[in-house]
Amino acid sequence: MSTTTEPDLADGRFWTSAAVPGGRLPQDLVATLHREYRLLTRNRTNLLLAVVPSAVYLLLFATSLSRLVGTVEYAGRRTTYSEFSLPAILLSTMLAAATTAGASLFQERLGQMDLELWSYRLRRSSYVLGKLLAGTILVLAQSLAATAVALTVFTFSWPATHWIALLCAIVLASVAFNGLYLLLATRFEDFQRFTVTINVLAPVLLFASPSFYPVQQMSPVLRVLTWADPVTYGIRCLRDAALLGFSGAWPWMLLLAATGLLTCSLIGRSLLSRARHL
Amino acid sequence: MDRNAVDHLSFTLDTGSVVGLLGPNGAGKSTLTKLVCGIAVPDSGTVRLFGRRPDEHGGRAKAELGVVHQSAPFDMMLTASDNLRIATAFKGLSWRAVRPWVDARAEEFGIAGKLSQLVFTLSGGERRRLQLIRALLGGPRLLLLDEPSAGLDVAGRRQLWQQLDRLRRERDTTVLWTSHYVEELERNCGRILIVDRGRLVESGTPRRLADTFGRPSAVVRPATPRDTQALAAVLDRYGLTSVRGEETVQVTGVDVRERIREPLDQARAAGITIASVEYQAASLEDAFMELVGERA
Repeated sequence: MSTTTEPDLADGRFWTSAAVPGGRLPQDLVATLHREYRLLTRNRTNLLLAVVPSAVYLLLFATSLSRLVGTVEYAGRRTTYSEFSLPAILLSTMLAAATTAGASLFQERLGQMDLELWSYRLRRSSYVLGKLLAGTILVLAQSLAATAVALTVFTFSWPATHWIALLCAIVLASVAFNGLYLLLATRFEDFQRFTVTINVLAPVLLFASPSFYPVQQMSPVLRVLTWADPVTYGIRCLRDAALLGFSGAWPWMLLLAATGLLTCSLIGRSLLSRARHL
Repeated sequence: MDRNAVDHLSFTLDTGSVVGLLGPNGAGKSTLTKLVCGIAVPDSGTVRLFGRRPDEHGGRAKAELGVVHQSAPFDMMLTASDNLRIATAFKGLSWRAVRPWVDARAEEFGIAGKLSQLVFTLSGGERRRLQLIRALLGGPRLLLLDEPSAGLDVAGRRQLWQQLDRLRRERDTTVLWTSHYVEELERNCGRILIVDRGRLVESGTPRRLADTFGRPSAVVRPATPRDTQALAAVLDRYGLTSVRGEETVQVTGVDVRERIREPLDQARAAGITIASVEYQAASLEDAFMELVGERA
């Protein structure tokens, strides 16, 4: 039987431009991003789980509460409830997307896929960078999508500088919370424990923070809990950026940037340490 | 107690050769595969792939490597096709260009209809076939196969053998093949490395290993049970260890054909009727058992 019509993989016709040295992005980084893109977007269950809570908060919860509450006092000024609650909706979106990223990393370890990846021509820097970048992009994309939907549902009266500050805050919070969830994924070995923890964590963290209500309205016990809740700082950053601009949000921005740096470096160390002990 | 997984193990692979790696569980076979892939780094000594260390220059040497890991790692929640696309990206190949080749291999391996399915829905054998296609992407110059037949049925194993034989003939691909199926290595490999406790115990062609370390045997069938008993006594006098069954006596050892001739003549002279003598050639499995002992 003739096989002459089959392509010959050794003849070089199959090499992409990405394989050519001197391309804009290293081939291994492109491949890592390509894989992450598929992992994060092809799993419909994860995507659905990530989108539904945010949609519920955004379209049902916040719209109803907005009509009920009207205005809220925050940082000495009155603001509409929709403007007050948008940061909470954005953060819930970030947590849901970060859950997808964390679950994807955990599944990679569970299926020993890292063993396969390290058999390819893959540099450590590309692997870690690709993983962090892809997760952050997913979190960021879902947050921006939620912002876009919110713009069609609510009316916001913020000046352009506040929007820019909010955008910066979204980027920093995306890095930090994606980092926190990925870090969490590197710490678990047991699938059931991980699944329960990662799915329970988001609502607990969200509602134990001054998300949909001012901190003054929270019970004394919850107020104490807010100090230990990272979501509190994320929401403060987004809310202050939107309502007060850079002048009010910069300390939280610094905190999120530091958290992002710390978590990313810890994840990098953890991933590489695992690679050395496969 | 800590011990080295691979210890003072040194060998080279000639281009186009198919070399089998045989050893009991825990012998260091998978660790060796990881060392060659650059996943594990040796505490001392060096691994060279086409003259380069596997982790050197961003792992450039690994571009010409195809690996089938024993644990069959996949992104389980992605389709078979997506998994192949990812491998294609890591190997710097164009999926569009590779696709006809992938389809042809999938057809050949009997998983053409499975490419759009999520990997976790595939059977063990189907995953193994998919893994082989993935390893063959790009026509690697060196293939590392760690238990590639595990989970494959007879037809799947034969397809694997055919594919590898074709690769070796057409592309001069070098293969390092780890397997628990001794007969598979005996059939397909030009050279066998027997390892135990991380060390190279012996190496050579399957025939040489079998002839040197294997134990050919002779199964003698006397005419009556009484003759069986009498024959065993004769063999004992000649110092030949025999295993006595109800109707047969089996003698095992190097040069058994020559060593058994005189005792059989003696037995016949003493009136013992020998119905038949069957000689069995030494096998690689015998040699492996001899070299590694009960740990095999």
